[in-house]
Amino acid sequence: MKKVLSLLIIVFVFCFMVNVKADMGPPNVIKYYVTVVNKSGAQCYEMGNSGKYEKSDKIVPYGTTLYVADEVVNGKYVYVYNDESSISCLAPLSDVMIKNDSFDIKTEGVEKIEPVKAIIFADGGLNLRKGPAMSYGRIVTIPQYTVITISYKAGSYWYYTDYNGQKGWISGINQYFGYDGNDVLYDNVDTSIYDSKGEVIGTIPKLTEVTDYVNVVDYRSYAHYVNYNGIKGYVYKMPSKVDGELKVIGDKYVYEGNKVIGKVNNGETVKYSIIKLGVYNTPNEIYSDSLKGVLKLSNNDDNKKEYTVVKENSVKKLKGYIGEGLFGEKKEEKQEVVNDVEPPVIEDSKQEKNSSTTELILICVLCSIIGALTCFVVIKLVNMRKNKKGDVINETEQKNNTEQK
Amino acid sequence: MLISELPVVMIRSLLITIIIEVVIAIILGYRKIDLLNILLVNIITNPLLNSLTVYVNVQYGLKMRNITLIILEIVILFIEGYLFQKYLDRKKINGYLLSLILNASSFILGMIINNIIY
Repeated sequence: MKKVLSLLIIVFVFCFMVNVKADMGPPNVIKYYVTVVNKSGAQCYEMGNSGKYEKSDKIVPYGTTLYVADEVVNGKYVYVYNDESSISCLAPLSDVMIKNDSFDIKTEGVEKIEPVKAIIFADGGLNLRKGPAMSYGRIVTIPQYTVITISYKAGSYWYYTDYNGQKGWISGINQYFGYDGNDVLYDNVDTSIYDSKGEVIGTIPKLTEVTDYVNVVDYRSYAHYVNYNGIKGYVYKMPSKVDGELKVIGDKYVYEGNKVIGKVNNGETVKYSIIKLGVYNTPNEIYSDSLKGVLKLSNNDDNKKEYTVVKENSVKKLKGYIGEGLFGEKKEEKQEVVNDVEPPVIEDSKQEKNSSTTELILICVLCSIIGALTCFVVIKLVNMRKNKKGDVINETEQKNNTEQK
Repeated sequence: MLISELPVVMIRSLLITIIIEVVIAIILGYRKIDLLNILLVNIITNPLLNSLTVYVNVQYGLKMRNITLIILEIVILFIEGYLFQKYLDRKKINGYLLSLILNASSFILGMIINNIIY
């Protein structure tokens, strides 16, 4: 029995340790150089047969330069690789350091973009870093509402800028800055306007044109800041107005929601004003003013094209039209008069999310306590009943014994 | 796991734990009222363990969650052991030892099942 117990304890502890390691999770993405600064080398963690990262017998020697392919994992590890020495593993962040703490803009994966003005929203300003990752050192903090110009992009949300002669990278995750939007937005459904906390503060009716003032940068890249009848806030996934014509391939139905309201014959030309791109294998939704409905047509597969675009004009305001007061430029007389757009205030919505998460967990804890107390009472009752039954049986036996005597 | 899935995850965890522990208890020779008591004891301890570890994980991180898990598992071992010792009819195995056997089995088998499914 003792041997079984000892074995059980060893297996218990082992499974527990494996479970802890298993929580490392998959790596994320960005690329730069690091050097191993731990004199004992950097411990490698490799993918095991269980599909989880495990400590391997590989140690990357002190002084080795490696590519770092991924962002910080669990706050403690980075994914490193070096083709020459076949290293490809997770390593502790504390064992490596950014090489020369600088980033070459010619690094593969950096994309040059058309220079565009941007405004910093973050409370307290936004850090300008030496490279496109949180691991790079901070150069300076760019104050809130500063207007800058961004000219390069790395990964999904890092942008290169020059602030007062200091060049570096800013992060666009969490909507910390936005740039000149100037798109005309238009949808065939009602669209909600949100404040910085994610609360709905207004609705743009369907088929209403709205011009955005700022495209807010985040890794999802579909937030716009608008001013609609004095309601200032964010809209998401609202397509740009696109006046165009297409030719349909095959007979196709026109929908209002899921209801078929008409039909377009093969070869017919249709004027449209919105194309909402489908995701994965869903067709594009193409809204036509004249048909007052939607055509659901795919064009992703060359062998299965369901339409061809004959003409397409993006409806965009003239360049230079920027919300008055936002970028400090004068509005042109030809533009329609708009109200001042105050710089939006971004509040950290993380706290809001955390409090609702905590509430749910506390409710579960409370329910568990109530459940536990209830079960405890039930155990007592069950065992009281069992004891009473036992007492009754004993009494009966005693009576029988007495009678027999 | 999304936090909104927590109640479902807790119920699932409780059910798997109960199934494993009741089966082991049957193998060890426990019957009827004793099995009911084992089931009720698990309903007392398992949801509390899961919800508290998730709370600690969200508030204080993975490291604290692992420490909390160890401490709570030990506390639960003693609580269940005491309850088994007090309420189980069959006294062939000491209540605390039974608690260790059942908890270790459900922990190990639970992790195996978890790895297979996820």
